[in-house]
Amino acid sequence: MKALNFKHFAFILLAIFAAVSVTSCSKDHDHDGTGHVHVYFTNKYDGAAQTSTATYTGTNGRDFKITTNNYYISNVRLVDHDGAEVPFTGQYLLAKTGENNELELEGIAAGHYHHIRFDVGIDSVTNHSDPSTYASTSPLAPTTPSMHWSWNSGYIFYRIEGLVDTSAAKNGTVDGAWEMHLGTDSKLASVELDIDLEISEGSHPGLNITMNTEDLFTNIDLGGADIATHTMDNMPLANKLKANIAAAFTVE
Amino acid sequence: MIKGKVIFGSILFLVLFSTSCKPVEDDLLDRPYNLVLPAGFPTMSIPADNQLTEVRIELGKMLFFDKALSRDSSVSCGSCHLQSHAFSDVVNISSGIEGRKGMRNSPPLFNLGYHPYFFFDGGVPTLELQVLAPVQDVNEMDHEFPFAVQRLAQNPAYQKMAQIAYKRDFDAFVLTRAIGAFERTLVSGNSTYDKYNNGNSSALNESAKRGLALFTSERLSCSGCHSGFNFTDYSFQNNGLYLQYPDSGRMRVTTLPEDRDKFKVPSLRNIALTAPYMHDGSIATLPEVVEHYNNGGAANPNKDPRIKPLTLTSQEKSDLLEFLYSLTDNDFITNPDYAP
Ligand code: HEC
Ligand code: HEC
Repeated sequence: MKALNFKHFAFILLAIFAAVSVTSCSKDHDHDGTGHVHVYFTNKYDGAAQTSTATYTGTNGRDFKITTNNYYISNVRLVDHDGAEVPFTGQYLLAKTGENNELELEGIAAGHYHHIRFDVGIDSVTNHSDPSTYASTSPLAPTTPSMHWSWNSGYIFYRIEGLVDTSAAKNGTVDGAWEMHLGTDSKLASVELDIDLEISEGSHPGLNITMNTEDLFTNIDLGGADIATHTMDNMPLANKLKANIAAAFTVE
Repeated sequence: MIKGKVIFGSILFLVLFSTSCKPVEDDLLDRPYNLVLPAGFPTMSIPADNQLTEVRIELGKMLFFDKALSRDSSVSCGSCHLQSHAFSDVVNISSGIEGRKGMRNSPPLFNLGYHPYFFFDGGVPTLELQVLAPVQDVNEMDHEFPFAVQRLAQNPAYQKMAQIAYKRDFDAFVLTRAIGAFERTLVSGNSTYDKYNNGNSSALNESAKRGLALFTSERLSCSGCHSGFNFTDYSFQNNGLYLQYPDSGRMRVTTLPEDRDKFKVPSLRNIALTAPYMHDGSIATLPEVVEHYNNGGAANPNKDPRIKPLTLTSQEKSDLLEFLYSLTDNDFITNPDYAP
């Protein structure tokens, strides 16, 4: 949904650089030789759009719902054919279920890109900044439901919660609350995906990335000790969630 | 000091007549505020984005006492932080909205501009960030922050003051900055002890003088932790309240076992006004606190070695108490600048 350019300046520099390096071999001197990419993040469950009303059944047979599935994407980089990273620093996306979670990467030099890398969470400097200093349109501003811990100042990188059947008989009564709030500097999760992206001057292809929510629950029971974490109060569960993040994203 | 009523009056005037009058230069209305610090206090570092001005402070005070911050408009900051008790509360655990109870005692609020971090576990680094906590805490004001900001932004007086003080619409920045500005003016340093310390050798009676000597003695080591002009070194320590604490204190934000059951050393200024004591309000009176230290506390694995049986005589106990009573600053609790 909301994307933000803090370091517009860096992009301009990058664009100039790209323009200079491209003009020497380009026939078209009216353009800067770059393209851009629209990256979309979609929350799914078993291949279909994840919704807050659907009831899902975990691998352990427990029924549950996912009412909130929000996370930050940051530190996006494209990797070119030489293995060099093109960074898009200062761009943050707060992705949510059912929203058009779009991140626009601009000023990309023409060429072929083989990987996209990004972090789920917020870098350690920005993580300790003050949400009230950002414009209310920024994904880093105070929002609802809150993506920031006020008692241990820092952002919530991943906020996923809902209701679950807590009955011993697993009789399908989905009425117990579960929640996992992942944060703190050491819980930043790095993701790398293979892509086949061709950028030419003026092109603006889309790149669809899926969050396969079912993969977040690998080794997580949503019962007993696995029913809630706010990271500090249940590190084992927080670590399991963090470990599941990288493999949960795929490119369509 | 703050000319609260005058400023508020002129703002009301502006709000009422701004449409009909010739526009007034907003810059003329706000003035830098000169924070007067007590003798012997170090300079206070004030963030560049929140230098003190009269309208900022006045706005912050109005917000501090405004119940509209809480979801059901029933609780203000001032509900748990009472000026008559140096901005602490009289109960062990304060009530938030709907009578909800959190887990910690409301600490007093003064000399906050000197704190390196806030809360008993030190989890919040600035006064401005601190404002986010009570507003959103389910047991305090239970209000989504953007909703609280939206509600307050409808108040025309707040909008006008935001423009004058911060040159922007009322928003999260204005809310957190204005409250922070007001809080930095809550300076307390005019106790009987301060008068003595600043050269009036007869301000303390003989008993309090003996108590001061005990307080700073190696035998009692109180000033090992409760040190400096604000009677705290802000370190995290365990003073042996329990063998096992229900609240893990500093460990809650660091997860380090060596931080288990450690709490930020509190200031002892105005201590006679801030009962009940300790992070959970578990000790009701000052004589009982002295008794706790005299007994040496529970054998918690993280207890500081300076907390050990002291074998104080009853004369020594009353001398120590007499000194603690001398830390009360009556001007602070009666200062009209801090009242709504
Ligand atoms: C329901 C009661 C309650 C309300 C309402 C409340 N507080 Fe507090 N306040 C507390 C408690 C309890 C603590 C200690 C919390 C902790 O250490 O975890 C505290 C701590 C603080 C501290 C930290 C002091 C220190 O020495 O670390 C500040 C500053 C503060 N409050 C300001 C405010 C402001 C500003 C508001 C209004 C926006 C407010 N409080 C509303 C109960 C309350
Ligand atoms: C090792 C450091 C340390 C030493 C030494 C120490 N204290 Fe404390 N003191 C603390 C801490 C930490 C707390 C808060 C504990 C808590 O909330 O659980 C505290 C709390 C208090 C309180 C209650 C404050 C409040 O607002 O609730 C008083 C009064 C007090 N101490 C007096 C003394 C006296 C008198 C001595 C000397 C006999 C002393 N302390 C020695 C660390 C220390």
